[in-house]
Amino acid sequence: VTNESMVIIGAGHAGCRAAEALRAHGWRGTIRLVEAEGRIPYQRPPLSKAVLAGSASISDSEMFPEGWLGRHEIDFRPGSVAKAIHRDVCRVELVDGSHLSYARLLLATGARARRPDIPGIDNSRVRFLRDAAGAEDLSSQLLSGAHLVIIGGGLIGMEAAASAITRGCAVTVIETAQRLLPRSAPPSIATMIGNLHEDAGVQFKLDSSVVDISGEDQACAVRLGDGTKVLGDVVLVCTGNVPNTELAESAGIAVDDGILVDPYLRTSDDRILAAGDACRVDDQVLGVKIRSESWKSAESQGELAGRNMLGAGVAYNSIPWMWSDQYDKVLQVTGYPDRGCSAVEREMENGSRLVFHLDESSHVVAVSGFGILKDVSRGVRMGQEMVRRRIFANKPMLEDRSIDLKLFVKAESDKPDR
Amino acid sequence: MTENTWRRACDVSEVAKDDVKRWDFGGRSFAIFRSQLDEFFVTDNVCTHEHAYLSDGYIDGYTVECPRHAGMFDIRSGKAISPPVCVNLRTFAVKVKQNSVYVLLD
Repeated sequence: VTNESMVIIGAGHAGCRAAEALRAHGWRGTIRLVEAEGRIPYQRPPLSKAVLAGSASISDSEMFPEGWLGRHEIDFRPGSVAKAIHRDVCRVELVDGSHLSYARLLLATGARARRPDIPGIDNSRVRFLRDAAGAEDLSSQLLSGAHLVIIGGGLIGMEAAASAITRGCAVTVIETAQRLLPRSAPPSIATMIGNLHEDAGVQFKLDSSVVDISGEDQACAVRLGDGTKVLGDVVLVCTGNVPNTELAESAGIAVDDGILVDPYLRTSDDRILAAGDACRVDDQVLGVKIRSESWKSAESQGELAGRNMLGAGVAYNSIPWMWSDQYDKVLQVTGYPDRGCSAVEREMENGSRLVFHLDESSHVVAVSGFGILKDVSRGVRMGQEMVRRRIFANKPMLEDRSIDLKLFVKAESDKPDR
Repeated sequence: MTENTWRRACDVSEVAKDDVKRWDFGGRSFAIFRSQLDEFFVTDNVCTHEHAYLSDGYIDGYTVECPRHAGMFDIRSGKAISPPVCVNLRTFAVKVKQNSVYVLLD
């Protein structure tokens, strides 16, 4: 039987979780896992954190326990790149010329770092941070006293800044917006995070566009819109991601800022599914298509894709959730902050803060938290329940730190008129 | 710590129903869970993935969710049930006597 294979393109988080789920849910046939980087599958979150800080290596965060792929008879293809999908015959063609037949195919092709259109972006001192090789290379450059210039004050840029500071580097972060973390955190929390970085010695150039990057003897220079030149030994560009959709698109699969999938993670070809950073999924809460770039989404979508490849027919309904470590503090966000049009803030005694994002009808659509792990995680966890249960925001109660959020959610959920 | 010894950890009233309390003893940290049905369970308090105290986590029935990365454990068996955690937690025998919670240490 030629078609009784499950093929997974991409051995990042979503692809690996799908392979695991296929075996966990009883698939005894062939599973082919196509990996492009020529590495043992690894977890990505530590790349900008412990790996850059020099406190861990990639091998400390491998995706599977040693020997797992072999024990589970996964046909693992390291260093293999898919070239085309021949949907008429259900085959994937690899760059090396081999063909893989599939009963079901999962596209877990991930995303790549966006390369902004800046003159000099090809300078030999410019780096991107997306994969293991990039993180190892960058880490080797972060010698004490080196000056790291980071273009982009988003989450990855800020995590890289914190890591480089702990290595004894000088760090300058350049951001085009007037504030840090414009996509990832509300203004009050972005200010708290910025202050923490300034206390640690990070320099910021906000509201600053980059005109060009040029090599200058021992260092390279990043020229800003106002003519200022920021000199650095290494320039790290952290300006977001682009989903890897080309393989799908050239096979005629529907794509629009991500491979489009229905709630069951099926693409426009129902033998082909997609999961993780590469896909844009019908969100069950909002009723719109969402592309998420978080660990949690890759985790739950990958697992679900594996089950649905076997015909489970389960819809994706996870509420988005992400975390970031900034020095000894944590940021956690759940829900859909960009759906919020107003906010209620709760300040806690030890300086932690929760921001409840409300939509036009004053329902909680997201919660962001920053500070001490215990307070942030509990608040954001209850926030997840508020979003899931479409809790109406009682502003005085959300603001009042003496109100226990678990009891609040329970009381609101039990109200008969909801 | 020496061989198996029952140690008094706290009063029953110090752990709310459907909640958890941290108890530090002998250089270790333990999580003392109390279910809605008034059962007690004790596990290691530090997550087996990255450092975080499970006593700061979220309890839902017989599961605890780690505050850092939301990995889940079964509080009865210590079993790791949801990534990123994959190593089980150690569990300890527990008994309640005269309104005190005792933990069997090894």
